[in-house]
Amino acid sequence: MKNRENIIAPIFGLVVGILVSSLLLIMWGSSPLKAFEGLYIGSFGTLGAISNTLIKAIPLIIGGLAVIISYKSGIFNVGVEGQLFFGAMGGAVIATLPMFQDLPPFISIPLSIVVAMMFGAILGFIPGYLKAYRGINEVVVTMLLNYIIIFFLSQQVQPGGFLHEPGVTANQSAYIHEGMKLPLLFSGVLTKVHIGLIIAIVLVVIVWFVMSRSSIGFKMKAIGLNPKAAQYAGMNMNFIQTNVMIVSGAMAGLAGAIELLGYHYRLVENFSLGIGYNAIAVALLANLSPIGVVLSAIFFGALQAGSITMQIVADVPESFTKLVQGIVVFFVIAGAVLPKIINKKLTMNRLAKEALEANQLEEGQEDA
Amino acid sequence: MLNAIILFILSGLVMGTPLLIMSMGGVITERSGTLNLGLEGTMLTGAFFSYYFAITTGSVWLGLLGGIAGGLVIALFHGIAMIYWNTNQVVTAVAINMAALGITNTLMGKFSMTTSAGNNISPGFEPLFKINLGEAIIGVNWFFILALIMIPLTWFVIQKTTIGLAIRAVGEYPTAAATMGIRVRRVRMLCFLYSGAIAALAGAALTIGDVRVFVNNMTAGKGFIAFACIVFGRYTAMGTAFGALVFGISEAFRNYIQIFAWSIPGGYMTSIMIPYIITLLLLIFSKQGNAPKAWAIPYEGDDN
Amino acid sequence: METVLKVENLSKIFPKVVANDNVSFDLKKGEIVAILGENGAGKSTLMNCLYGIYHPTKGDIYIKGEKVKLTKIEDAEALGIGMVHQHFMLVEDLTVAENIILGRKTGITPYLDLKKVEKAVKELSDRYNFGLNPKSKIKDLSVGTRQRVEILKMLYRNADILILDEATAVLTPQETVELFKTLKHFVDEGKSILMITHKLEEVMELADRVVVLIDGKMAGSVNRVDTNPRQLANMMVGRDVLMDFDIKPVVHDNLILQVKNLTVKNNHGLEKIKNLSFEIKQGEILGVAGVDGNGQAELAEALTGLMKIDKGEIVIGEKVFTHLKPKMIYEQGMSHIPQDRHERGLVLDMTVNENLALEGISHVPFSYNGIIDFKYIKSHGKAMIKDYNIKCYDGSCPTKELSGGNQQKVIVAREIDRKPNIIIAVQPTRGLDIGATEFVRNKLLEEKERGAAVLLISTELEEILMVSNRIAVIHEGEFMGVIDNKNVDILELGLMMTGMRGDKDEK
Repeated sequence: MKNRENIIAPIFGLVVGILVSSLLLIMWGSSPLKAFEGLYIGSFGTLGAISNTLIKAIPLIIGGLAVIISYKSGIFNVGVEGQLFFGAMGGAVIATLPMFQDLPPFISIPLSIVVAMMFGAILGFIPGYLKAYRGINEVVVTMLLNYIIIFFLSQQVQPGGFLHEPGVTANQSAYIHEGMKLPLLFSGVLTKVHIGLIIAIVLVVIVWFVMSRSSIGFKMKAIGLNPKAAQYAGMNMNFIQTNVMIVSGAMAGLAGAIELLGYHYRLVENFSLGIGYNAIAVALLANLSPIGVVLSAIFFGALQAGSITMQIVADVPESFTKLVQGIVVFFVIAGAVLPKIINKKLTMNRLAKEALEANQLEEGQEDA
Repeated sequence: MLNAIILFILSGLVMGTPLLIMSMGGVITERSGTLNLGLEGTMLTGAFFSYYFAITTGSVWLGLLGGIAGGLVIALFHGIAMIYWNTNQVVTAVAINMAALGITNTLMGKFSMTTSAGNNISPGFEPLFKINLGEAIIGVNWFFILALIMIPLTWFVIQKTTIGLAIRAVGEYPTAAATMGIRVRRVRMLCFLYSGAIAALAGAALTIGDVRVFVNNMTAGKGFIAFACIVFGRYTAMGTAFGALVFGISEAFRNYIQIFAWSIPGGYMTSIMIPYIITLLLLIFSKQGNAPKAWAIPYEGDDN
Repeated sequence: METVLKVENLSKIFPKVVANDNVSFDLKKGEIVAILGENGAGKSTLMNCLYGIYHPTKGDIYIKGEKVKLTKIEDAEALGIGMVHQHFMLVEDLTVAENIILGRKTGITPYLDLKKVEKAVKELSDRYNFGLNPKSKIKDLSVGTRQRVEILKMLYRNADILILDEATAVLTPQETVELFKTLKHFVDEGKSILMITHKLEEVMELADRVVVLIDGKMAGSVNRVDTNPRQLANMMVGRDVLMDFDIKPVVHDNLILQVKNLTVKNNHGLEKIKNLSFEIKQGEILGVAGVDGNGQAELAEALTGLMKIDKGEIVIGEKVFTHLKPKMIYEQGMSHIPQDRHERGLVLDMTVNENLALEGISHVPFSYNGIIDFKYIKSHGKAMIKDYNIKCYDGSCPTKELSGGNQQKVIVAREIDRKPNIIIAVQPTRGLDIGATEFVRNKLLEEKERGAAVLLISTELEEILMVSNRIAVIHEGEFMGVIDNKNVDILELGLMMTGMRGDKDEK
């Protein structure tokens, strides 16, 4: 029964969200069927498309998990965007700066990832600490940090920045060192799917296990559901929330490293823009279930992967996918509460009616 | 020297105009007990539609109306979900901001597909007067005047009217307000729609009131900064205005760096970051608290 | 005499509950009618129907002879009905005058003419000798004064039918006397009063007639002069109540809990507990009586590690603590039944089983090396549900679906089953029906018999008198005295609640 409720809201959100976005498309004189056909072709139509979808889904899975653990613990990390960027910068220190170019890949790849996670963790710690110990709204802090970090990355890949590729006028970092590309999973057909997918799946299992099987996950959930009662029961909310933000930031940093080493291979301005926000959509559509994140990330990954084809086929701007995303998420949220509201109203009406019948009103007007 | 300081503050006010307007609307919502993190998306929607309608109708005033209408639609969905359905206020705002970004991006994409490159400048409000900085000239239009009027006006409404009293009561103790015959949800919704309209107006100040073009995601976090100003200003009109002024000055500072080609470490990008960093520092080092007691807590009572 | 209010066959039905079932009564001009009933008997629902907050499912309401339909509060107010709520409906950050004018205009424009309101409030206050300053903020006023503001709010709106919901619940005995004087004055002026209460003494002192509710139904309506407290008590409960628990004397001598010179400051740096010292022996219940808001919450939070101890020490058994954390409390074998079960006791969205495991979750046998043993949690839940007679279909039932009494049983089961040395119970029976109340009190007595030291903090004097070995009265963070629960003089306790030091102070 609990499971059914968990699925209703996302399905409601998906259906209504897609209907509403289709309606908007019709209003603007485009064909939704064509648009979604284009989306499908671009995301699942060919093996290359599927590979693209999966590649887009990888950071979304990891980012989605980062959002889930924070949200479940009563602190909402909307800073995955900035943490991912900052993590990628940390990863790039190892992966692109000349001083580390002689490290063998079996050291430099893990080192790059660890540094990326540390960078992400630092950025997660700031809002976590400020929320837990100073009561400052974490959403505002993480949003401001997002902007600052995105600008900071731009600055550092521009000429004069410490990550800028020497001798080049373009705003970019150097290409990652020889041998540091993440290994590909398949040869040939699924061209670019890299080992990051395995990392993401392993992480899904770990997060699922921690959230549903461990006492720390139990505590996180209790804090998220009722912080006061959890504290009365001896749980150290501030400590746990701060640490959750550190872990969440580290996961975002990991996603950043994977984007760098598995997909982009160098930092450019606004590289991977929007993944952090899409990860929130992923987590919400998955109804905060670590397993559901995989499906939900593939859905949003497909939206991204298919957007270009859609633009070409249906003459609908690429950014339409962002619109679908926002509207779907809105209705997922509404879908989670609407059944309760409707249910309450129906029960009230039914009970009132039963009462009226039972009492066999002799006189007086029936008031509905 | 004194002249320079006055000029500095004045240009800060001018640069901070959209933020000032928006945060004056926002403070009303926050006082009524609703957390409004959707200002960003509402402002963006207002910015786009005012630009869009101004360019298609050729009239700035119709553009302004269109912008406000667009913002109101967004605020309507957002408000109904939060205030009537009691959805989580933070998450709903995140979804709304996402949807607003998607809608404006898509429409802008469609719009630029059908417009030739040279025709994308919209009509705009003419400056009423100009501030001469020697090297550069800053135009001041009536949005600026509006912002100046809104500061005392917002204070007056909150503190000196029965409407303001109802707003404060609903934010502090909605159940008590309800027993005095106040419709809690209605008051909160009206406040919310008001701040939505104002945020859209502020968005219009960015496009038809200033640069006359629309750029994707051009609000660049101003909605969150407005919220930070409100927290920093301890939920009062005057305090919030002060916060917005500080932000405006830091933005003006950025312009000075560009105009006078001052050299700072990191150059231009640093100057872009400065307003955000200052806002963050203000938030961190200001005294926290003073939020209305029922702030961000959905009202569970029965009213319609 | 003119009948100002008449209720005929009123029923109000909620999902799962019939709150009022065919209730009928009337109220005449210049009369005081008491609606008597236990918690959960449907008194508040009835009043809310009369005040336009709820809409009756069935039945009619007549005001001054006219049949009315009250769909909103304004309707009730327009007909001259005013309600004084049990939990004050006052906005603390606003002034007296602002609270009174709330929801009304002062003129044609929305301008708030506070001067005009303040003048009118002052006049009204003077007329009834309320002594209110219209400019003071509510948060700076005492509880008794706040209640006068509540009443004045209604008078300002020309209410001539006053509904008082448990008006004396938060008052000291002296403040109650003042209130009663005021109420009698109103009646002499021709106003009518409907008072909701569960206190028999109040009814006997004040009411002209009594309507008794039990489980939402009318158990009867009698004239005060024709009845006596015993008859009312039996009507109210529907059976003979065992009011007297057998308080067995303390047999042990060893001190389990000692609090020495405890000082606790709140966020604003105000001393809420001032240099407080006491001790509890094995197998003893110390009751802390007092008017709400005199440091009870802070005392409980300091003892359970949720508030910082500013000065002083707490000795548990032999161990001396100068700071405590909730985790340490658990490890020291101390249990805590918090005041607000929804806010602090339970995670309502979690299941009964999970709530029963809430505190033990990091410890064996609930978890091993951080991995939860779900089998144990399930069997433990099953055992608890049986032992403590928790009514739910299964341990996997979300706690929010349980009734208040059963929710409290979940907390009691969790806190008591691990055989604690010390139990801190704060208002453990608030809002419970008679059955659940008896259950909780019996459990506390059983635990005491077993040898636990119990600190019972309650604003219900009756409860304290029923189970405590010794009674302390707290006032503004200090004990006014600690007395043995033998031949207690209630009046003296009342005086202590207002801040007079007891002369029988003993160690």
